[in-house]
Amino acid sequence: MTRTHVLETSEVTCGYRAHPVVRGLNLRVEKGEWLGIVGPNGSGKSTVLRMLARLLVPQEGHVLLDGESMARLDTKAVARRLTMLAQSHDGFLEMTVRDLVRRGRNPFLKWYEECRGRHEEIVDWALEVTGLVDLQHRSLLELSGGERQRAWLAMCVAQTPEILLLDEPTTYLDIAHQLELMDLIRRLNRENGVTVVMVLHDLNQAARYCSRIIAVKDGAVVRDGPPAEVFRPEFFREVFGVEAAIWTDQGVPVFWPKGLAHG
Amino acid sequence: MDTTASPSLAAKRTSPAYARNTSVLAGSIALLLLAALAGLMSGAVPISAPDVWSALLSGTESEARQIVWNLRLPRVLTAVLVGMNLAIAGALLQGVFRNPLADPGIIGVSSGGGLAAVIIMILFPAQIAYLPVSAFLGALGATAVIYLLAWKGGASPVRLILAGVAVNALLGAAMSGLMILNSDKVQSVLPWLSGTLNGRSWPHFDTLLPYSAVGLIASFFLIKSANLLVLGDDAAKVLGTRVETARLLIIMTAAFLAGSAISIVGMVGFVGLVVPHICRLLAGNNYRILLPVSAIAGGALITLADTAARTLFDPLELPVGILLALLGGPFFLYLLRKGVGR
Repeated sequence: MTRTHVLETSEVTCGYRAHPVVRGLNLRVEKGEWLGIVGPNGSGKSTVLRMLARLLVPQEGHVLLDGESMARLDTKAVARRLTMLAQSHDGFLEMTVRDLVRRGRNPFLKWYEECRGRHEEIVDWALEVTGLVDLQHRSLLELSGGERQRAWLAMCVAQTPEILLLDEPTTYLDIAHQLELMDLIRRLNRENGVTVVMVLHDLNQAARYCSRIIAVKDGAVVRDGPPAEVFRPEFFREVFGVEAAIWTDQGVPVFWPKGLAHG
Repeated sequence: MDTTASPSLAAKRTSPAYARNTSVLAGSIALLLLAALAGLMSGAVPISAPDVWSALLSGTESEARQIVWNLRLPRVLTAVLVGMNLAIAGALLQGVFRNPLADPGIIGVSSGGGLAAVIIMILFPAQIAYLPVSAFLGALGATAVIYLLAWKGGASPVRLILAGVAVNALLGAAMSGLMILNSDKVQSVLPWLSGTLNGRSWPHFDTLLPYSAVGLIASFFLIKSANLLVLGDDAAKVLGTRVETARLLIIMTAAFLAGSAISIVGMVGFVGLVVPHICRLLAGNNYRILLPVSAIAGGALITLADTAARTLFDPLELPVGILLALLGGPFFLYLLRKGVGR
C-alpha cells in the first residue's frame, strides 16, 4: 500500500485544558498538494498549523509524519523534512540576511559542523530563488517588511523542506508583495514538489493558489475540497456569517462580501 | 529537490563585514595585551615595559620581579578571568532572553551571591574563608530558584525575567535589611558590593581558573544553540533545536561563569551588561565571533578599569566596579549614539 498523505492528524485535541481549541480533529495532507486552511478568528486554524509544526503538543491523539508519531521522532530529523514560516518575527533582530538564511541549514549540520561547501551552495540557491542575492549582506533591520518576510522564507527554503507550513505569511504585506510571495511559494510547490500547508485570511487568494481548502470552525473541519467546490454561498454564510456574491475568473472562484448574514 | 544555484553566486558570498570581524577580533586581542601591559607597568612603583618583560622572563630576583610576579601579574590575570566570565555570561543571556537588559543579574547571580556573602561577612565573620564558596552557591541557588519559579511547561524568557525581578527584589531586600540592622559592620562589606580586586593574588587566580576554563569550554559548545535561540523560540524549534534544554544549559553555564567570578571579586556589575552590547555593535550577532570577542574585551575592560582604580587616586584605591561604570558608561553611550554597525 502506498501512502499518499505525508502529514496526518488522528483524533487530536489541543488547546487550554478546560477549553480545547481543537477537538478530535482528523486531517490528511497529501503529498505535493497546496492545502489552504481558512476559518474565522479563533476557529483554531493557527492551532492546527502549530500542531503540524510540532510547536504545540496535542493533549490527545497524534500528529503523524509519514505514518510515524511526530512526538517520537527526533526533532532535528523532523526539521530536515518540515518547516514553518511564522506570521511575523522579532523586528529587532540584528543579523545579515545571509546569516539568517544560513541558519536554515542547521538541521543538516552536526554540532561541530559549520555551514560550508555544499551547504553554502544551498544557501546561494535559497537566496537566488527568493531574489535576495543583492540584499544578502544587509542587516534585517534595514529591510522593508516584505523583504524581511522574504528573508525568513529564504531561511525555510534553505532548509530544503518536503513540507512547508505557513501561518498567514502575507498579513503585513502590501498587495504586490503578497502576490510576489505567493508566486514564489507556487514555484516551490510546482517546480520543487514542496507540499504546502498555509493558513490564510484572504479567501480569494486561498482560492487562487490552493489546490484544496479546508475550513475550520470551532476546532473542527467543516468543509474540505477544491476551491470551486468549497466556495458556495452557504459556506460563507455558515462559516463566516457573511452573504457573498461568487463568480468565476479564469476558472478560479472569486467572492465579494455583500454584508453580514442575518438569522 | 534541485538546489543548484547559479555558479556566479559563490563570488558574492563573502560579506564586507568579514574583514570587519577579523579586525574587531584582532583589535580586542591587542587591547587586552595593552591593558595587561599597562596593568603590569603602573602602580605605586612604576615599572617600564622592558623591565616588566625581563621581570617576567628572567629568573633573577629583583624588586621589579617581586612586584610584577607576586602582586601585579596575579591581579591582572584574575581581572582578565573575571571580565571574561562576566562578559560571556552576559552575551549568552542576552541571546537567550532576547532582551538587551539581560545580564548575569537577571538570573539572580548578583543578588544570590551578594546575600550569601553579606551573611558571611556580617553574621559569621569568623568563617570568612568560606565567603567564595558561599557566594558561589548563593548565586547558583538563586538561579535555580528563579528557573523553577518560571517553569510552567517550559521557561519562557518573559516568565524568567519576571521571576528574576521578583526574586532579586526579595534577596536585595534581605541584604539591605541585614546591612541596616548591622550598620556598624557595613564598612567592610562595601568594597565587595561594588566589586574589588584589591589584594587578589595567586590563590584567587588558582581558584578561579578551573571554573573559568570549564565555563569557557562549555560556552563554546553552546554557540550554535545561542545562534538559534536568538531567532525566537518558534523559529529555533522549527530548525530542530530542543529549546528548553538549550536554554537551561545556557543559563546554567552563565550562572556558573558569573557566580564563580562574583565569588572571587564581589558584585562587579556593568561588564556583563555592556561588553556584549559593545561587541555586538562592532562584530554583529553571530556568537561564533561575538563570544570570543566579548570574552577578550571583557577581560581587557576590567584590567584597564582596575589599573585605573588602583592608580588614579593613589594611595587610595577605588573598587573596580565604580571605575567600570565611569569608563564604560560614556563609551557605551558614545557607540549607541554613533550607531556603529547600523
